[in-house]
Amino acid sequence: MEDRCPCARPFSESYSGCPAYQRATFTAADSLNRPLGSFLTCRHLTFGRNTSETGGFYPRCALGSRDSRLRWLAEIRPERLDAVQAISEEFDEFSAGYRQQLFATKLRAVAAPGDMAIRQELSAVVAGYVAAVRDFLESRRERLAEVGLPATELTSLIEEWLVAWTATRDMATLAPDADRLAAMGGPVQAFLGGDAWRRSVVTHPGAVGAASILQDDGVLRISRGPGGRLELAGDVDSSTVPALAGVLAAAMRRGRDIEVDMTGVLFCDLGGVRELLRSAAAMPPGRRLVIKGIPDHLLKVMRLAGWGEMPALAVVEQWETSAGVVPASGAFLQAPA
Amino acid sequence: MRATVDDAALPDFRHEALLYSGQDDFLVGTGAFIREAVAAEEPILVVVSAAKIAMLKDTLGPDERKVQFADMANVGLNPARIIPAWVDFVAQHAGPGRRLRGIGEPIWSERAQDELVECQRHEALLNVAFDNAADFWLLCPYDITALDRAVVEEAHRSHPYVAGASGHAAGQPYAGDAVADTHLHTPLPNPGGRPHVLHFDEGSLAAVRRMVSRHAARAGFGPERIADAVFVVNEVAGNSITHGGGAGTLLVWSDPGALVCDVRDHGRIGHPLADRSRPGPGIDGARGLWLANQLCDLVQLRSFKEGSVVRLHMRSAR
Repeated sequence: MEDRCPCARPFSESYSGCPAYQRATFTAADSLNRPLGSFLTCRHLTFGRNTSETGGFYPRCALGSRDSRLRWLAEIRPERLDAVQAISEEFDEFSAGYRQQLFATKLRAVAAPGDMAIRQELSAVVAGYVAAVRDFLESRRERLAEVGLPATELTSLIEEWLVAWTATRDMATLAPDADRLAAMGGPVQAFLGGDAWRRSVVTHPGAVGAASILQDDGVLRISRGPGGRLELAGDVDSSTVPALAGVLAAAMRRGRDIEVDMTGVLFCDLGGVRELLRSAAAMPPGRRLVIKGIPDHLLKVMRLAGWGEMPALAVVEQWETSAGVVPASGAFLQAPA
Repeated sequence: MRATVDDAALPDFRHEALLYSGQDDFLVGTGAFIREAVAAEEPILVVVSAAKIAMLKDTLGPDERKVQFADMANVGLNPARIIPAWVDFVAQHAGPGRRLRGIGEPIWSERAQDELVECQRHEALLNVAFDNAADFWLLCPYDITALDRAVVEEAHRSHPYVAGASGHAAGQPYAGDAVADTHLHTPLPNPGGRPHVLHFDEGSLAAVRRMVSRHAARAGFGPERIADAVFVVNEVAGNSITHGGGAGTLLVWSDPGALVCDVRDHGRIGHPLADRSRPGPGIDGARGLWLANQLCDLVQLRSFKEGSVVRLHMRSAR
């Protein structure tokens, strides 16, 4: 199974084996809806049905294969995922007491359908929780905005969601409206645990190409894509820089421009940047090293490191297409306005 | 023998503390120094607080147009960024027979203790950095009414010339370049709280990055600042693997509003200016510690017989 979860479970408090791991707590309940306790799980962990063999179930990663996980991470950026996750953990901690109270009150309301006093009590608990959620989110407005979470919309969404939940007899957590969530963007889905975001990324067109893999050590994968482009996915660090240097040296011998796609790079250290610059410096006259998808953070680092413009180095937003040539930004290392 | 401002035979680099008592005294002392520069058509750069810049401009009148000003809060919040700024100023204006002047006040009473210690190290390193420099007269104002006595004593140790505050106890004599070494070998305070510890080697830089990323996120850092923290710690830990015996230890903890990381290894820090020499234009050459100072709010280097430590302080917003 390509999408079998590779993690060692149960997850420990400090688990860090999979870069896509998103901690979530799962509250188990007995047949009378009484909570049994909380367990750590991953937002992406689901059950898959093993159709070919015994027909049993296996732990399935909703992101799909390792390849899909890398693409998902590259699109979100690992640092943004961690920032969302940290806010999400603070939210879980803040809301634990409220959620327990909500759950217990609703249980009593469901057991006594005609009791208006309990219904009113439930409404009051919901109102108190919503007010606390608003305070929680408002006091973090700037941090939320930095990762793309709109505080006001998020409060309304949670309120509507809670009101809908109290109106049903079902104790299970309702899923928020998928279309509404999708419209609110990826970070909201990551924060609330929906899976529409990852679906939108995993099925991203053009994500899968008939690339031939030149090197893959589990940390960095380098493959040759359409037109001989080098596609990097994963981490460029001191353990993988030698492999990158080798691949770049081989590409140099092909006698054309070298095109490097860094869209899938989750991390690149100074040594990685240096290797790319060395290749650009070694380019014969008239040939260039063209890089697409370089993380903004690396451009900032290059500026601070004092690496100025190089005639043979071009940073582009998109590859040149038949519709027109995308101008290379030769001025990418200039100080920001 | 302590030299005075009126000495005729000036050395190439004159590093002088100006001990002043309160705001008016500051304006008198620095104002006279600036007017002398303007009268002699000597280039001068003044790096003090924004409030003091405003007061000086008021005092100087039309002369202020001949003076360069820079806000110390921008240039020197991390004091390791101050020497490169002076080096740039000197490189830009130095010429045969031309004297340059500067005023730099990196130390004020509200500085946090860690920052203060690094400012004192910075003052000592100035003597090393400008040992062979052009004719450059740098005046460092110290407010003796606001600063602790020990801070003023340290100014005596790190400045070959001391002016102002007549009658103020001379304190310790100038201690020469050795002051910079003393700072490099003085242990740092123990981490506040209980740090998270990770031993790392060549195969575990990914774990180093995961740990820093998570703790930065939990300290409230946004994505950009998390990326800064991860990048810097990865480089410094990489230095431990390459130059510090192949392995090291990472300690991570939180100070109020900041994330602090220690990278400890068995290497030695040789060059006292290792972290504040602007990298050359070439592709090769070390840049890790330089970048650490550009991306962090404070970097503390210490070297001992048994090994060295790089302590990186990062605030959530820059």
